Amino acid sequence: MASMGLIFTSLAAVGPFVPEWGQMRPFVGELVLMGTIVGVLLSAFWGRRSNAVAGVVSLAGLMLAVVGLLLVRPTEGGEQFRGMLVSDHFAVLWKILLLVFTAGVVLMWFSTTRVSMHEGDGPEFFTLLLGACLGMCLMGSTSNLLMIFMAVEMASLPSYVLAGFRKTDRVGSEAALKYVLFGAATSAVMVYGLSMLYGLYGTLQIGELARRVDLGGGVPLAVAMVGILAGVGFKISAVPFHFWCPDVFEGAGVDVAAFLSVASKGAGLTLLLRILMTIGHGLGYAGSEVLTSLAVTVGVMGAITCTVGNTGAYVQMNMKRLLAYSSIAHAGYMLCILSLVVRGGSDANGVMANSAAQALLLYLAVYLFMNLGAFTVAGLVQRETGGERLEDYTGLGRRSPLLAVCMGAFMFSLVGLPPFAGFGAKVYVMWKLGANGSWWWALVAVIGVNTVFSLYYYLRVVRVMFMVESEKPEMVVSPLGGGLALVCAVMLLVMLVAFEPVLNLTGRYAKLHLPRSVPTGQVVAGGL
Amino acid sequence: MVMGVMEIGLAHYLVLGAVLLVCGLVTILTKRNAIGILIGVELVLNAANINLVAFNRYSHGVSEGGGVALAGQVFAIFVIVLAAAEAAVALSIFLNFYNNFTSVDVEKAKELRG
Amino acid sequence: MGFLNHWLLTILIFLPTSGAVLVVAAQGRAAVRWTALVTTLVTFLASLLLLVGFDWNQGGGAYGSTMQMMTSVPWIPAFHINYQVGVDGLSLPLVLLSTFICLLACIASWNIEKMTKGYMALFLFLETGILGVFLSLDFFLFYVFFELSLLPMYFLIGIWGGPRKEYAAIKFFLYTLVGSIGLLIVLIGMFLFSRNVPGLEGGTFDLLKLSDPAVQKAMGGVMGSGVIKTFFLLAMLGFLIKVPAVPFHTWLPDAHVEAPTPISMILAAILLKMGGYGIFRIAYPLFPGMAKELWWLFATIGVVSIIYGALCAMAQTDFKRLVAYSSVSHMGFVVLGAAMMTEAAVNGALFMMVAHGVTSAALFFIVGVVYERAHHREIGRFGGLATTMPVYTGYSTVMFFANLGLPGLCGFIGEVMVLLGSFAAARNGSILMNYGVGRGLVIGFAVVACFGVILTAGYMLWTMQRVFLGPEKSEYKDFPEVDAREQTVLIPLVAMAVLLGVLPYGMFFVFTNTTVAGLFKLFG
Repeated sequence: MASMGLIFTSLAAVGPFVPEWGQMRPFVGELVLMGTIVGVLLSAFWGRRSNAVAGVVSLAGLMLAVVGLLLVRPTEGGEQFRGMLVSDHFAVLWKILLLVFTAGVVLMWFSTTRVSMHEGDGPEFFTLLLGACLGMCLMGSTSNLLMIFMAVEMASLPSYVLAGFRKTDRVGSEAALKYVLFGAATSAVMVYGLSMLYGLYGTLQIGELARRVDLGGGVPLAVAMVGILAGVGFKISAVPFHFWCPDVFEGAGVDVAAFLSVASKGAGLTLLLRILMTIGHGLGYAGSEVLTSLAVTVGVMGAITCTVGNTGAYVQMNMKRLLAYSSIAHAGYMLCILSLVVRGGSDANGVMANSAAQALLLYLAVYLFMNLGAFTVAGLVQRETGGERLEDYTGLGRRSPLLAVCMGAFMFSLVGLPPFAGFGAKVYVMWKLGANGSWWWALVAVIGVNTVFSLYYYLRVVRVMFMVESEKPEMVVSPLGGGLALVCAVMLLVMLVAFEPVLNLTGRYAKLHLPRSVPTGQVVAGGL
Repeated sequence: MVMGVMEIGLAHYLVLGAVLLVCGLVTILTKRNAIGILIGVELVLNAANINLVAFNRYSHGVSEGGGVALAGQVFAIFVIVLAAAEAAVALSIFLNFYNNFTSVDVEKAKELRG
Repeated sequence: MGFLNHWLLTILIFLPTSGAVLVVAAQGRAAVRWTALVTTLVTFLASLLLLVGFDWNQGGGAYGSTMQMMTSVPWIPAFHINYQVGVDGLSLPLVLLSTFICLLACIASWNIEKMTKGYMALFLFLETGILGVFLSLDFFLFYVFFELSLLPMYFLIGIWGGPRKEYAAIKFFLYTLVGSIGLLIVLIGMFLFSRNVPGLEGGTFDLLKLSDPAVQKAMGGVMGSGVIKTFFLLAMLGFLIKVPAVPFHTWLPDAHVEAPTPISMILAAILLKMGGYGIFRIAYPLFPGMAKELWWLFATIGVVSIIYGALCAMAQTDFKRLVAYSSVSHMGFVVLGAAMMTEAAVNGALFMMVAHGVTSAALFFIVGVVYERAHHREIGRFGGLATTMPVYTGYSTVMFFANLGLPGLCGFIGEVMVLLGSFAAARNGSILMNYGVGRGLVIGFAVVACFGVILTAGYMLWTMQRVFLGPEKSEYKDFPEVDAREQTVLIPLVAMAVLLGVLPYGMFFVFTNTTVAGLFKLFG
C-alpha cells in the first residue's frame, strides 16, 4: 500500500508536466515504440538473450504501433507540446509507412541475417533499430529547430552503431567509421546553420521565422540554409553529401542497408518537405526570392543527385553497392518533388505544395516495397551462397525461379516500367512537376533521361540472373524469405492496378498542419 | 578624452564563432586521424553554441511579453548533451575500427570504394 | 451479342494472359506447349468474332465515329484515366494479323526445348501487350501496353536468342525505351494542356477526344506552336524508333539476327506495326497541323529508309540480316505513305503493314527452316536447295515474290497504293498541294521511292538465285523436306499472301476505307 501511495504522490507531483492524454494520442506510434524498446531490453532477461525472442517482441511492438496509428482519428492534428512537435495526417501516414517498413526489415532479418548473428546480440540490435526508427518518426513531425536537431541525432546515433554492428567485420567497422565521421560533421554544420536562423529571427519555430524570412537575411541566411541542407541532405544522401551511402550499404549488414535505404532517406525527405512547406506557407507559396532560390536549389540538387546515382551505379559489381547508388538516384527523384513548394506558372490555385506531399508519400509507399524486396532477395542469396557480388546471381533464374522473378520485378519497378507500381509513382512525379509548368519541365526531362540511363544497370542484374549460364546448385529458399519477396512483388503489381485507392489514400493523408501566426513572445518564452 | 575601451558585443562573439567554425572545418577536412576529425566536429558544435548563447544574450533575451527568453541557452545545453552522446558513439566505433585495423587513421579505411 | 460487343475486346486482350497463368501451372513440356497452342488458337478464333460483330457500314462520319465495340471503365478516376478499348478500321486488320501470326509463331515455337514453360508464358504475355496496344483508346492505357510488350520481348530475345543475344536484347530495350520516354512526356503534356479545354477541366487521356479538332483548337491556343512541334516530334521519335526508320533502325538487324525464329516472326510482323499504328492512331490525329507542316521530314525519312534499307539488304551475306533490312525498306513505305497524306497513300500504308506482316513472318520462318538444317545463314554457302527441297522452295518462291511486289500477291498492292498515292499528292486539290508544297518536290520523293521497288526486286531475286538455284551442293543433299509442322505454318501464310493480293478490297479496304476517310477529315 505504501508503495502505491508513493506512486500516486509522485504522479501527482509530476502531474502538471504530463501533457494531456489527447495531446499524446497522435504520438501513439512513438509511445508504443518506446515501450517496445523497453520490452526488447527486458526480453533479454527472461528470454536468455534470445535473438528470436527480441525479434518477435519488436515485430509485435511495430505491429501494435501501426494499429495504434491507424486508429488515430484523421481530424486530430495540430501543434503539440507547445509547438515542439506537430501531428497531422502527413506525419501519421509517414509513420505508418516507416513502421510497416521496419516490420518488413525485422521479417527480413528472420529470413536472412538471423543465422549469422551471434546469439545474444539480438536485443541490442533491435533496440538500436527501434531507436533509430523512433528518431525517424520524430523527424516526420517537427518543425522546431531544436527538435529537428534532436530527431536527426536520434535517428543517426543508432544508425552509426547499426552500420558497424558486426564487430569483427573489417568492412563493417570501416563503414561505421565513415558513417559516423560524415554524419557528425554534417550535423555539426547543421547546428551552426540553425544557430544562424535563431540569431536572425529570434525563434526556433520555423512557422514563425517563415513570416520574417522575407525581411532578408543575406549571407547568414544562406549559411543557415546550407547548414540545414547539409544536415538533412546527409540523411537523404543527396549530392554532395552522398559519399557515405555506397560504403555504408556495402559494409553494413543487408538488413541495416535495407533499413537505411528507405527509412533514413524517407525521414530526411519528410523533414525537408515540412521545413520547405512551412516556409512556403508563411510566404503564401508565392515566388518570393528566398522560396524560389530554395526550390531551385532543391530541384537542382535532385537533378544532380539522380544523375550521379544512376551514373555511379554503372560500374558496380556488388549488389548492395548497386542498390545504394540506385537508392541515391531515387532520393534524387524524390528531391525533385520537393521543389514543388513554389507555385509554378501554370498553377493558379496554390495546391501544388499539397500535391508535393502526396507525390512524396506515394513514391515512398511504392519505393518501400521495391527496396524491401530487392534487399530481401540480396539477403537470401547472400545467406545461401555467401556472396553479394553480381556473379553470385548468375543463373538465379534456374537456381531459384521464385527469387529471380521477384528480383526481376523489383528491378523493372525501380526503372519505372509497367506493370509495376514504380511506373505509376514515377509518372505521377513527372506529371506533378509538369503541371507546375515553366522550369519544372526541365526536371521532367532530367527524370526521363535518367530513366533511360538507369535501365542499363538494372537490366544487368536481370541479365545475370536469366541470361548467364551457371553450374551453381539450386538454392533452397526459406519460406519466410521467399514469401516476403513474393508479397513485395505482388504488392507492386496490385498497387499499379489499384492505383486509384493508393492515390486516394495518399491524397487523404497529404495534409500538413502548417502553424498559423502565434505571438512571438509566447513561442520564445514558453516553447523554446 | 581617452579612447574608450571597445565594449565586447555580439559581433565579437559571432566572429569568434565564425573563427571556430573555420578552424573546425579545416580540421575535419585535413586531419587523417579519426579522433582529430572528431575534435574538429566538436569545434564546429561549439561555434554553434557560442552563436546560440550570444544571440540569446544580446538579441533575443526578452520575450514579447517582457519575460526572460532562454531558447538559445537551452538549445546550447541540448547541443552539449548530444555532442557528448555523439562522441561516446563515435569513440566506440573508432575503438572497434582500431580492433580491426590497429589504427584510427582514416587513410586505412579504403577497403570500400568504387 | 450485346455482351460480346461490350466485352469481346477485353476478353481478347486478357485471354493470352490467362493462358499464361495456365501455362505456368501446367506440368510437363507437352502440356505447356498444348496449353499455349490452344490459347493462341482460341484467341485467334475469338478475334474472328470481331468480324461478326463488326458494323460493315461503319457510320461513316468523322474520325472516331467509326469506333466500335467500345468499352470504357474508369481505371484511375482521379486523373480521368479510363480502361477504354475499341476497334475501328485502323486497328481491326492489325488485331487479326496479330492473333493470326501469334498462332503460327506458337506452332513455330514447337521445337523450343530450353525452359519451355517460361518461353510460352512470356510469349503469351507478349500477345496481351500487343493486342492491348492495338485496341486501347486511352493514351495512358496505350502507353502501359506499349511498354508492357517490351519486357517479354527483352527476355525472349535475351534468353532464347543466338550468340550475341544479350547485346541485341539490351540494345532493343534501350532504343525503344528512349522512344517511349519521349512519348511519356507527350502523354503527360497533352493531359496537362487538355485541362484548359472547356468541358475537359479535369484533363483527359481519351485519344478520341484529344483528336477532336475543336479540342485541339482550344489546346493549341495554350500550347503555342513550339510546344506542339516538340510534342509531335517526340511522339514521332517514339514511333519511328519502333517502326524502325533510318536513322533509328540499328537495333533491328541485331534483334532479328539474335532472336529465335518465332520471335523474329512476331517482331517483324507485329511489333514494328505498333510504330506504324502509333503514327496513324496518335501522332497524326493529335497533331494534324504539324503533320502537314513537317511532311517533308517524314517523306525524307521514309524514302531514305526505303532506299538505304534496300541497299543494306543487298550488301548482306547473312540471310536473316537481309530479311531484317528488307523490313526496314518496306516499313519505309509506311512512313512515306503517312507523310504524303492522300487517302490512297494512307490506305496503301495500312495495307503495307498487314502485307509486310504476312511476308516478313513467312520469310523469317523460311530462314529459320533452313538454319535449323544447315546451322548457318551464310547466303554464299547455300545453293541448289530447289533440288533437295522442292516443296520448301515452292513456298519460299511465293513469299519472295510477294515480298518483292509481284502483282497478284500482297506486297504489290501496298507498294503500288503508296506510290500512286504519292503521285496523287502532287495533283491539284490534295492536302499537300492545298498547303502550298512544291509539286516537283512531291514528285521527286515519289520517283525516288519507285527505285526502291527495283532495288527490292534486285536483292530478293539475287538471294533467291544464290540460295535455291544453281547446282546441288553435296553438304545439303540429305536435307529433309519441310515437315508437317512447318507446312502448317507456311500454308496459311502463303494463302494469306495470295488472298490479300487477289482480293485486296474484300480482305482489307472494306475495313479501312471509311476510317481513313474519317481520318482525313481531321487533316482538313
